[in-house]
Amino acid sequence: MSGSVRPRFGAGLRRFFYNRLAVVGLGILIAIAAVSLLAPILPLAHPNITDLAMRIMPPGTEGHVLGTDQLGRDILSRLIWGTRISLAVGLSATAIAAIIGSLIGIVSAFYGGVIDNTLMRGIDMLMAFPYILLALAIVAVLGPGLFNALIAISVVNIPFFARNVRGATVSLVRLEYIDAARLSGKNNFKILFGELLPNVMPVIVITISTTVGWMILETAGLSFLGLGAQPPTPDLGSMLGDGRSVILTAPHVATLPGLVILVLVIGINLVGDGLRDVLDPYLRAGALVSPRPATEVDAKLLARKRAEKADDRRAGESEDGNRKTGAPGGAQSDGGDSGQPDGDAQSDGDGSGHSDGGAPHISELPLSVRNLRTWFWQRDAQIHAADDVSFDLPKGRALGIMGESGSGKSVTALSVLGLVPTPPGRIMDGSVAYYGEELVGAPLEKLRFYRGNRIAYIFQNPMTSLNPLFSVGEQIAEAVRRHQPVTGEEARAKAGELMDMVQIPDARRRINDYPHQLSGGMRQRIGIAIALANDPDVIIADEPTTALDVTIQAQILRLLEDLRERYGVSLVFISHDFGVVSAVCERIVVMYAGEIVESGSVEEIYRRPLHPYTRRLMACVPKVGSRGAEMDAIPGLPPALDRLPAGCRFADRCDMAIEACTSAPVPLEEHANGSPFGAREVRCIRAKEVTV
Amino acid sequence: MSEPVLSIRGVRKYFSERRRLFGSTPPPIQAVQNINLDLYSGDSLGVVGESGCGKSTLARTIVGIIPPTSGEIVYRGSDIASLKGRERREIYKHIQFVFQDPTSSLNPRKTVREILSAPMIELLGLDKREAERRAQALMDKVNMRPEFLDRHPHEFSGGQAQRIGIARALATNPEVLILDEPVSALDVSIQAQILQLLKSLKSDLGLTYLFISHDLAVVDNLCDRVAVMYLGSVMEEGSAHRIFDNPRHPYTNVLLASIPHPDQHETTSIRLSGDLPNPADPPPGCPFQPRCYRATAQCSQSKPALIDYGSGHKAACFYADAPEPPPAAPLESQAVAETADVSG
Repeated sequence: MSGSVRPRFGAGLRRFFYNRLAVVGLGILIAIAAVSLLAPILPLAHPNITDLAMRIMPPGTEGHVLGTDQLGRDILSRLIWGTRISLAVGLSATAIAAIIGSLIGIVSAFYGGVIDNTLMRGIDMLMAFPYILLALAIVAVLGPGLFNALIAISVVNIPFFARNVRGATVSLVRLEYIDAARLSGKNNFKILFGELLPNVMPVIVITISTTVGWMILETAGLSFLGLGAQPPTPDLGSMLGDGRSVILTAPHVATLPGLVILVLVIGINLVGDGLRDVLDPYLRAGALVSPRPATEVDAKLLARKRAEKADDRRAGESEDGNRKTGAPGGAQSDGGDSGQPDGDAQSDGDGSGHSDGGAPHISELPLSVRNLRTWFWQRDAQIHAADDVSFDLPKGRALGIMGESGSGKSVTALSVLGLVPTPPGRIMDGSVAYYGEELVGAPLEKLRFYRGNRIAYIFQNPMTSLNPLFSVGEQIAEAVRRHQPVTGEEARAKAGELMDMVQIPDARRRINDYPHQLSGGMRQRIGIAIALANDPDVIIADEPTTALDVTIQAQILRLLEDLRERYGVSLVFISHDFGVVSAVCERIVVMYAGEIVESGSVEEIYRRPLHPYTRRLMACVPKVGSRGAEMDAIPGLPPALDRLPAGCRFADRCDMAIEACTSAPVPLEEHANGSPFGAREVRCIRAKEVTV
Repeated sequence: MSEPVLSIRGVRKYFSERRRLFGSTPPPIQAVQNINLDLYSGDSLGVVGESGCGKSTLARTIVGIIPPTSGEIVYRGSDIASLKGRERREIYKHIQFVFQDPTSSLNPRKTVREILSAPMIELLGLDKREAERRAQALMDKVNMRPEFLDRHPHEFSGGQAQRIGIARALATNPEVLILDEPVSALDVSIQAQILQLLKSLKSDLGLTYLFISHDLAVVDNLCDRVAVMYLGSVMEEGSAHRIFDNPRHPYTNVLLASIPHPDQHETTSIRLSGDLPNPADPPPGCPFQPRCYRATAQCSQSKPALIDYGSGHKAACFYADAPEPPPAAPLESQAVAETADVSG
């Protein structure tokens, strides 16, 4: 057990020490705690011995380093003993409040109902009083004294713990592992303290770290008012109170305990921040960096792009004439209403390998991706999310990208318009061209112009991509207005048309509905309507039907098919399901561990998969009618994308792997002339042996 | 025929919402309505249906995570529906559950050892050493390395975590396993691994499965018998080959026709339009009637009973015995047009 806990603990410790301020705080606390713990054996004057002859001596007096107070007591000694008492009271009050408060919180969240209501209304009543008033009232009833102050402060702070812990527990109680624990025979007691408590512990610790400073201040406050420590017991608050009467003549008597309180509380709060960073990394100061508006492009690549662009401009001037004749109107979309930013269309920079005779020029392609490489840069790892991805999408055609999770299909799609979040994403290499227009490294205004306008996205979960606070009509209209100079009324009318277009029954009434009022299928239709809002040339649909039921999926697939045929939109369709891809696409690229392993027409790949991964993946998908058939599952797991093997990435799961597979990277090679657009390619050195 | 191991008799589950401050109590959500199913020893019964059909609620009711509103769940002759405390824990030894989401069903703060030994210690009363020995054997059964016992759930991939979820369910050597969409959160290639594992466990350990899934192909692959659910009711029930090869209920037909298949790019089969009705306000008569391409006036007047049409093939449709109307193209467009109006 310890073996597995230690590395996590070590990582936490490292993260704590990463925060320099927290280390400073910890240093302060250790110093203060050490001194106050050692008080009995330090060579100090007795804190309570009065010496009226030595009243109010300034700091530096012989025998009294920090001077004396109005009764001639040594201030240094009283400070150290006082800190000891303040710390003890503050910490015990915290412990009492934490235990009772957390218990109330966890119990009321777990049982809910009447128990929850009773406990939490009690807590509400405690919170209805100003805390100092409540503490005063408690002390007034119990009488002054340190112990009673301790009780008062604990009671006052119970609500903080109860509420925080209840909030954290409520979200855990419904998790399935609680049901699983019950099915394992655990009773409520064991579930509460064995399953829930360890998961709520970080919240308790964070609450402690934020309240313990307060508690010390509150103890000092009560003592200052004469309700806590009784004379002659020293305590930081009562020392402050004593000093008040001589504040004008001998300011050091009050200032010194004040300073100690300040330093102590700062130390505690710094350590608290450090602890919170470790236990709740999402709240870490500076961790809430919002991603940049566009994916970062590697500096070297950017420089190369700029140089190429300058070269092209020079070369383009001479070549311009004959290209215009070669591709009439190629650089212009059919819509014509788009008003693209001035066409500094550049020629195909890298002279891609397989543009044989009939292939269209890059300037005629709505989307052309070449050698795209997008990585995630983490503190100690580079995740090769997409490596060397290339594909072309002619006008009006549908391309499927098929792969399992982690294959890089979504990262590829999001890289097209720089939508991969940075950090950690960074485009390392490659180009993405819209009718010859380079999008990788393009200025943000240009990307913004294309986003949702010429190239639109449809996402997997329409519930998260729609804003719950606006009606669906408003959201479609908003998409229209972002790129078209229309009035609000025109945009609304267009929204209605779009909703008709995506076959939402009774669109006129539904236009005012909010996303939560619609079913999953209807929400996805709204997502499609938003994608269509500006007559885009390309729609990129990322698993648009995965969250839907099979009957609803069939409706959406048919809708996409209709829209593509009717409006000539080019479609990139991403899915893990070959059947779904084949329902809408003509050509498929199959991805595995960040790379394209195979591409070709739907029929070719279905009838004769060339890559062992594709073949085995399709073999292990159960089909209706394949009753009880033994499924030949692919053994093992895909490789970690930050520790990729030198050779073929599928080799260690492949039943055809030979030694040559693992020694060097396997290139994606043309296997045959392809159809319907693009070649038949495969990344396997044994592909030629496949005869199925 | 022998006695069923587990028999679900007239089980209903209604979720009632809390009374509003002003106004009346909202009608309860009728998640499961009068379900009758028998599970025989060595059976694997698949319950299929789309989201909101009540299949997961049914699974949770059977195992006792939520109590049924009415009806009996009979295990080996005695009703277990309302058992509590020690008696309920006794049942957990024999009927176990595999959750859909392997990551949320494993406590992140526990090691695999703690997760696997809990049922052995709590339910079987084994001591720690014996539990340890059996935990290692369990890991072996689900093809995981015994060293992984020291790890925490977050160190595993989805497929590995689901293997641990299955191992946990097997810890007490149960007789019946209720599996709630155990492979739907997994990638295709991993899904095949888990299905393979479930098959071999079933034959090695002589288990009986009740397998909940939305995926007809998965159910057809794993199960001998199938029940198709829609809006809380069973629409059709029978052996897998009868249901999938000769469906009698139009809903089953629609489900099968909706599966995209590379062999038929242009499907001319029936497609369903409209959405699931509100389960708090189900339509009159047959629950599927507002979306059904074969619906007639009769269908909205009374609810068809689940009738056996021979060899245990039951269907709840007035036209289950009548031949399908010819699958001509006009039928499809007509059906879509009609139902689109209704669904508005």
